[in-house]
Amino acid sequence: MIKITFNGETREVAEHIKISAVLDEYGLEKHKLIIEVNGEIIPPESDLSMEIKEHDEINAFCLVGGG
Amino acid sequence: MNVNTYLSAEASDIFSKALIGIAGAGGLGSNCAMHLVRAGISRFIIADIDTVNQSNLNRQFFFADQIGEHKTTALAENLMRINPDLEVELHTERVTAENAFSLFGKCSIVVEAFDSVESKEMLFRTLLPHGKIMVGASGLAGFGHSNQMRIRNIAKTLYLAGDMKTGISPEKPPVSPRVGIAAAMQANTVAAILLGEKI
Repeated sequence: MIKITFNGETREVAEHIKISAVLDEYGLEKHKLIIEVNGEIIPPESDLSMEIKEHDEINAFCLVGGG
Repeated sequence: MNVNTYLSAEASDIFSKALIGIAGAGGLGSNCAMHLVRAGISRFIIADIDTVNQSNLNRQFFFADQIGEHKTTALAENLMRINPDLEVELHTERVTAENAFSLFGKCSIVVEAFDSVESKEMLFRTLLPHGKIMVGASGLAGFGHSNQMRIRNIAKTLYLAGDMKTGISPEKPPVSPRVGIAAAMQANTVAAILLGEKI
């Protein structure tokens, strides 16, 4: 297991886990998300099958309409 | 004119120097700007392409006799009824990925106050890479569920108000109380960032 931070919470995940797998676990719909990995917002076309590394900090937030 | 006579000299000085961008002058932008003016902030850059419509009066800081006016000029007029000494730069045009940085690049903080997911995402993706501090909103439709409304510091320089899930739909239209909560949270967050208070 490796330690990561997801949306501010420290947690353990399996080694070689993909970002998409963690997003699925939280029930986040990928098409509406903005995802930040280690302080950088990743482009919308990024490959979410990239593996998470130990101590990665990932934030994912969902945008919905209204204003 | 100082409309917030409760401010300390130090806070008053910080607020007088701040330049706040309001991207969208609808339910979020018009109400957020109103709160910021009452809080003592006096310099704004406001951009919106729309005109005031009757359907806006359910939540936006406009009045029936302003229907048909550009939202930018109508909002400036209303804000100046609170404080006539504001410095307001108005842009009656659509904010796009091409012009967003030239419109808001000099702002201390930019309030994302758009309606559509696409516009919200465009503004974040355009301005966050420049390190711009942004206060946006996501999830504010319908009535009730007040305690689900929160402000979150998500990315390095991005704060988001709302419940992060309730988008607008025919069953859950945008209405004054909850849009107002989100707009007030945005304004409160702008003030907190400027003053170094906890968000």
